[in-house]
Amino acid sequence: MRAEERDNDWFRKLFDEHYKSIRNFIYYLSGDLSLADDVTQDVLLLAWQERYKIKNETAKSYLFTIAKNNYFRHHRKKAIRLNFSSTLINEPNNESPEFILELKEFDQKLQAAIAEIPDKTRAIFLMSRIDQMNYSEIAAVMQLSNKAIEKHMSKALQLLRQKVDRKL
Amino acid sequence: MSQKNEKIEKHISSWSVPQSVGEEEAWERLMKAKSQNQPVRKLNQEWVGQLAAGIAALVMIVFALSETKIFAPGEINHSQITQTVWLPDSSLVQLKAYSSVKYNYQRIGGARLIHLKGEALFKVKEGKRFEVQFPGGNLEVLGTQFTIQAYSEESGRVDCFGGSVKVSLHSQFFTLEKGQAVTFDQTTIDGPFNINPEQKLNLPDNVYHWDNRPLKEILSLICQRENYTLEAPDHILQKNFTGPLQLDKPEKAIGILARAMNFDYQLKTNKQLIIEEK
Repeated sequence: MRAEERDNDWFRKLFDEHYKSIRNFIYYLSGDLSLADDVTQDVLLLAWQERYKIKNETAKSYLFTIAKNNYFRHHRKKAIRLNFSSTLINEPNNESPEFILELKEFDQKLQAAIAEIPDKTRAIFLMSRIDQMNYSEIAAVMQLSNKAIEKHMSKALQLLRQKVDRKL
Repeated sequence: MSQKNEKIEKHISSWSVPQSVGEEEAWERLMKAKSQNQPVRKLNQEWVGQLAAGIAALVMIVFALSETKIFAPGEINHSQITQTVWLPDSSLVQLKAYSSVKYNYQRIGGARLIHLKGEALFKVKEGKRFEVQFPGGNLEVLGTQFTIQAYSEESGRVDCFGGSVKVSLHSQFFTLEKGQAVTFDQTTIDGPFNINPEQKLNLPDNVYHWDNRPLKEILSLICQRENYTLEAPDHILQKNFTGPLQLDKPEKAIGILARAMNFDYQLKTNKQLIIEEK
């Protein structure tokens, strides 16, 4: 296999394995889909340029670090608005219109409550709950200790309970 | 774990981040961006200095030329009747009441650069880069039809009726697709939210239709068109209005709003519009 083909295969694999999680991560921080697309593209382009320096075992952590730095240096937002799709709402099982309406209202309040949690804590919490990443995986990509991730998670849960109680 | 916690956990696990473009399209975009990167070549060091100097000189010449623009005369619409302006590249601008537009294009690259103050509907011919600067932001056209309302930096709105536009507001970028709009003021951005493009495009001149939009947006537009200053309590400005209004008779429009939204108003001789609780 020629070097160019090998590089291209490596890059496709990198994209397949990490595109979604990087894009999700930036969305958790910013609540902005278009920004998440743009930053993810920039991160992967940088990875292509630096391909000979990246080790496969640390690639994920490398990509998250670039993404995090890019967001916090250039795009950080004071307030965000999240708009997740929910399978509970979009694929209801013969539920009544009143139930769906109530569910939508709960969904909006929950998304608003999560948007108010501090950036890093929110991203860590959502990586755990939506991307199903375990604490060690999150610790590796966020370059934090497992203990710190545990603290962010309990802080997120505590804030969420308070905020949801206030909004409901 | 309490029932409420279980409900929260179950609900969050049903979430996913919405798709904007599919992964395959994202990959294709990435490949396109990657292919535009120039490969790094190793150069004979003897020539590096001379070549660098040559490139620097060339860059300066190109930069100087690219900054040179060819100007076409600007258009100002002092009336309330929408004025149609054809740009030199056959793009169409419908210039709304009390608005002005200036057009120029770069000698090198041919990018089309527009300065708008006020409100206009743009129908852009495909071609070179088309960029509009307006009070409060700027946008780059990726498609065909859109309107901008931006009489001043205080507030404005961009609606996309066809194709897509990339809008920059307060250093944030938004890509508006057909049927989306965004509003902004000096500190906040609202949107993108959905609109009905067919309904909006078919409205008669000076008739506007809002769908559940805050009074602040509507009254700000009226005041900016008529050069009024607005004084109103926040809780009234936050009320949402749905319906059409004809803005070539501003006092009548304000009267309709006052009856519909249950507030009093005074329009002073110094063009100060005061909104009060009824």
